[in-house]
Amino acid sequence: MKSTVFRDMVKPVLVLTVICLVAAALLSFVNGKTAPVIDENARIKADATRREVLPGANSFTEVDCDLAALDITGAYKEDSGLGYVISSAHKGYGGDVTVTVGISPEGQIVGLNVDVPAETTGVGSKAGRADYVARFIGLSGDSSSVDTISGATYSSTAVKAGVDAALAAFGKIR
Amino acid sequence: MKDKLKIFTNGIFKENPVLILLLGCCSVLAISVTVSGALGMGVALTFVLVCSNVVISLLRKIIPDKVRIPCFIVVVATFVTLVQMVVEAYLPDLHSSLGVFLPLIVVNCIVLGRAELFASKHSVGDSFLDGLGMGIGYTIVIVGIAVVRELLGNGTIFDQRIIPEGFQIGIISQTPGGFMMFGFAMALLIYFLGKKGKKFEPRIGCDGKCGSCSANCESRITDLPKDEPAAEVKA
Amino acid sequence: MNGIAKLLLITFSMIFTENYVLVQFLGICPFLGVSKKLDSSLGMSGAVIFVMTLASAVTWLIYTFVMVPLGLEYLSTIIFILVIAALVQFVEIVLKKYMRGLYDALGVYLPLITTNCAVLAVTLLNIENNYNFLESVVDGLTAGVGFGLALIIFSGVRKALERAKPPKCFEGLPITLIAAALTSMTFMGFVGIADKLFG
Repeated sequence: MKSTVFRDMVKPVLVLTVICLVAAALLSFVNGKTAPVIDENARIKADATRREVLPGANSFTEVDCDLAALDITGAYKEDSGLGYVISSAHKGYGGDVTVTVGISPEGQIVGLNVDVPAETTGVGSKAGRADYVARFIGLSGDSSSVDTISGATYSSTAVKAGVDAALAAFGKIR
Repeated sequence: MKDKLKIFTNGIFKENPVLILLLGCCSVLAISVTVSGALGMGVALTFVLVCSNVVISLLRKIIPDKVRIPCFIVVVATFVTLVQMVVEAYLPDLHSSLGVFLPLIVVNCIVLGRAELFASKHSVGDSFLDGLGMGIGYTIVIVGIAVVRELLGNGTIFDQRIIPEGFQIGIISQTPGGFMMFGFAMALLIYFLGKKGKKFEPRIGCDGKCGSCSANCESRITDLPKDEPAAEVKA
Repeated sequence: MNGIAKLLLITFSMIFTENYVLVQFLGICPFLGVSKKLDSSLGMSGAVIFVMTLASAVTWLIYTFVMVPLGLEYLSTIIFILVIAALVQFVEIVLKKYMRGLYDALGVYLPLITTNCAVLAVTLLNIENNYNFLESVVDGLTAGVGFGLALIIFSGVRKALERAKPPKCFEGLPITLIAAALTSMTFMGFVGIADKLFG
């Protein structure tokens, strides 16, 4: 009788618990190894993007602004006064389109990086092409003078929204 | 020796998980846009499949029948998370091109299906060979479809331009193209099998009644102890 | 984007422009498996909508209030799949006991849902997209509705397909996949509508 109870009730729970514990231990060990690498990768990538959109920039300090209200994901000030880098994410076709804008102290766009989600190669990727991105350079105020692209309207609208949000945020924090 | 070879090649030809057993088609359709992504997915799946097969085969005498499905899920999910972390840390490009389909290997019926149908009943060595064969069978199909889709849809292979810009057929790398190419691949298989005088018998679904791969696993993972689900809840 | 507009955008994109089945390739297996008949499509859709909504809510709460404080974000795949498995069992018991009518309609489809990749995907994507609680629930609900829509439309397509006579080697599944391709092509048209509505 007692052994039946053990076999039917205790053993299954025990085995499952042990497997879960071993799994958790293994994963936390691997996570300890990989998490710093992942963070470092993200930092290097973000830093590289910021330098790319603000030529000559060295180091950045994060600026506090009302992030959520303007859909801003990050705002940074260049330490030597070259300007600001503001990134913003808007929904495009197949996911968020992340736009990182470099803005001079006078409020002109000096650089722009567009990150279109990779899953839907083809659709929307035109919005990330260099010739389209280049049309935003030199703008200030808003992006109304740049048209959306037919065939990638949804994503190019997201790019424009991102640029507008960044410019609006710039107006607030400068 | 011949038996071992048979276990290994079984997954590649006779019971190819994708084209014959029709398992795990979601990731095949979604990831076959680029050859490099498809190759990455194939390797990731093969790794998970081999590891989970070996571990489950090792534990097959210890795991009580009642909680075997939760146990299998935990083992598979552990290896998937492991792959996820390593890929994110060391191959960030691959990580972004696989997206959500990397964690979704957990519910890929090839893995759970092999755990239930093979690894829980066979020795460690055989399970290893079975996992490897199935993984390679999956990889061959996904890479094959990806070669066609990337070449025609984007004009490139491994990001090397082969067809000049402007001559590619965009829709092939989009969603409809995925369904279409998979359909063509299957039709091609049926055509060649027909020529050889063999009949195509996709073992779809529960004895072919419903081609749902979730049904496929579940109907064999099957008779979940319906009256005693408590063990699973505790998981 | 403010709250309601974002919810509307989630609704529209989950049902049409980013339909799980026909655009994102999630949940293909049940899509090909149970879409043969209209009533099984309806039953499966109902079960998926139900579980997806519930799973979105539960996993969001667990993630935000248990996993984040404990620093266990990296275990999300493993915890979510166990939560979904447990949830499906739990729903089955509750329905069986208290809502017999609903159980009779959805019961047979429930056990199939644990391995439906669309359910795990919706919970993982909620977290990845930084949705709040309400957005997650709406995302789960509308993703399920989109799944159901695809299934129901496609069951109609398959009905018509039964009368078609394709070349020998296309009979059965291949021609079904080609029909799925054409159905998914129609969904690409919705992108233009999304532009006008939310652009």
